[in-house]
Amino acid sequence: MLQIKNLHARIADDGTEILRGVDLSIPKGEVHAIMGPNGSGKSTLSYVIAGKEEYEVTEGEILLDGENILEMDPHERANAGLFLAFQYPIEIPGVATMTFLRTALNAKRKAEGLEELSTPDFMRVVKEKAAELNISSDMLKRPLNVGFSGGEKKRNEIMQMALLEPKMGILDETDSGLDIDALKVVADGVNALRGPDRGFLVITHYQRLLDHIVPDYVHVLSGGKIVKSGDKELALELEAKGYADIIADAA
Amino acid sequence: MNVDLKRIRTAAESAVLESFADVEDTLPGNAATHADRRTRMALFEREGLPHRRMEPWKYTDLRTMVRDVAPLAEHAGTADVPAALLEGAHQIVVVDGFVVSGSADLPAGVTATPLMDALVSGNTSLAGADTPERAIDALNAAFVRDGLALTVAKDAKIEPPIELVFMRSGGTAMSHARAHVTLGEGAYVTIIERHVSPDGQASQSSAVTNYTVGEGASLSVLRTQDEGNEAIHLGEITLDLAAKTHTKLLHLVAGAKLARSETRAVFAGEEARLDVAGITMVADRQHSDTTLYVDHLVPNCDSTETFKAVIDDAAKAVFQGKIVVAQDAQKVDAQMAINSLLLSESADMVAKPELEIFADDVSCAHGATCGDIDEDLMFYLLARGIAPNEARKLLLQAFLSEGAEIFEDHPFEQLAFDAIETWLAAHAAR
Repeated sequence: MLQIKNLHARIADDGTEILRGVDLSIPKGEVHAIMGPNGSGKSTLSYVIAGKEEYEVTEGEILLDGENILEMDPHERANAGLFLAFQYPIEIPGVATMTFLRTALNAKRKAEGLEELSTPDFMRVVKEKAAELNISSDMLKRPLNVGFSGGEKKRNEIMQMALLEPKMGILDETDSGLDIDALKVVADGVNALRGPDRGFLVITHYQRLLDHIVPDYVHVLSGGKIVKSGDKELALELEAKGYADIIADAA
Repeated sequence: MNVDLKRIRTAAESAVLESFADVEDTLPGNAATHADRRTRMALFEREGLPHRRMEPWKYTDLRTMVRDVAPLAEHAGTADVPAALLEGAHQIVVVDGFVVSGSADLPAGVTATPLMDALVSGNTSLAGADTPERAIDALNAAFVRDGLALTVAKDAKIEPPIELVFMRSGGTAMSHARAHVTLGEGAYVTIIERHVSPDGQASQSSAVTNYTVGEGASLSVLRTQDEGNEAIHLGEITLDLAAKTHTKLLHLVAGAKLARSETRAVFAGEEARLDVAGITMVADRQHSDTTLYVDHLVPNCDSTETFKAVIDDAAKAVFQGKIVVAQDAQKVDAQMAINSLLLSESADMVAKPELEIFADDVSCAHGATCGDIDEDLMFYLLARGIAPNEARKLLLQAFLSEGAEIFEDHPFEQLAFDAIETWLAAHAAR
């Protein structure tokens, strides 16, 4: 479903090359994890897939269901079925959470040629998804992410994913800043979304998250390239030996 | 040594003087009023239109911006009065500087006298500050034919809003209107001031409203300036605030080719509070100046000043805010914030916040920001499938809406949201 071929990308402003030939293929129904040391390009990869302007793709392609998404604007990529759960979800004072959710959901429905949801239908579906992620109606009444704790923000991200039902979910260090209980709630939310038609790319620093969201494959990103791939055991090996050995072995 | 420097008058300045000479005899008022008018015009004759070498007018140079001045409107033209902004509001309509309706049958506790009558009977004065920077007040006082003297009785709580509609019927005439609004002790009233004129008409108008807020009274004012795209608008609000009063004033500014609206607040009694806010939305080649003076003369008062501006195309917005805290005015809390977003390369914003503090135990702050829409906020919305124009609209709406916070859960808040929505639909959602 998601194919990344020889992807090279740099920071548009200063030309610093971050991704140096990433190859990755995630078929439908699979969960792939990307691990790697700080500065290896993990977050950049997620932003490049989502289409952040800060980065410039100099070579390679990204295909979603065979379509080159590099030619699409960020909102078109989202409506084509891509979802990025942000490492640092943005607070937007003045934009009500419900207004935001409704605008996003209707944008997707419009792209799919569907009618906008009626208010009662929308409320029902939001309440249902919110309940699954322990998101209170009080949180929904607040401006987007404003005054949310780290855990609440991450739960809000997963709720949005549940609402928008993407083909491909990318989780950028969703475990960062979460205590173990919050991690469990988030992982359960993601696991509930796993299915034969949906793929996931889970970017993380620590093996801990992968105890809860068990991946089919694990890749190690270093120096802007995938240097090693394996099954979930690779994550345990990384945890035990650290990145240095694995990267040295791979070199 | 006295050197009489003879300044060359602009066409507009000459037109003002000629117009005054032509109409002075026909202006209402007793001998004292006429003397006041002549005094105010003498100031104009000496100083002319305010210009950039006067600090308070540095960014709005009327001497170069006003090319010509039309003759004074002689009667009220016909105009379609817009529906009241709030249901149940009592409308008083002033067209081309003449009160045409609504000055009778006011809610119990409110009385209104057409200013024309008050001038004739000598019940009101047109005297005022004799400083060149007070040009709006001086011009207005010299020429004004009509307006209102509105009084809210002591302890009267007036529920229906009073809506003062200042309209132009069209054409290029000059018009001036003036209102004196006096709240008795403990009174409560809600006032909407609307300033409107048709598009495509080079009307020139001034409107001065003097609010006197008696001890313990509460006043809420929404001032909307939605003049036509060729109009010149000069406005002034003065607020005389007695002890234990609470006053809220929101400026909604979207209209006119050239506009300057001044607010001059004076704290005259302790434990008073003033919340003044502004939402300015300008585009094309509009020039919109909002100037604010807050004088804390006495201790233990609070004021907040919150201004938001969105500027598109080649428009220019000016915000000047000066807070003065006198030496005796201890324990004053004054917080001013000016935030603006520039939506195009050629948009321009001037923000000039000033604090002048002579007391030593006060809490005063000001801050000004000016920038573009935050890219990270934008990307977050785009990454959720929201189209760029829609995302931009959401963010601008959020930004501007904060300007209406002083009227949270008050019907004025919704009116502000509606105005923002209307402007964004016409300008920013593209």
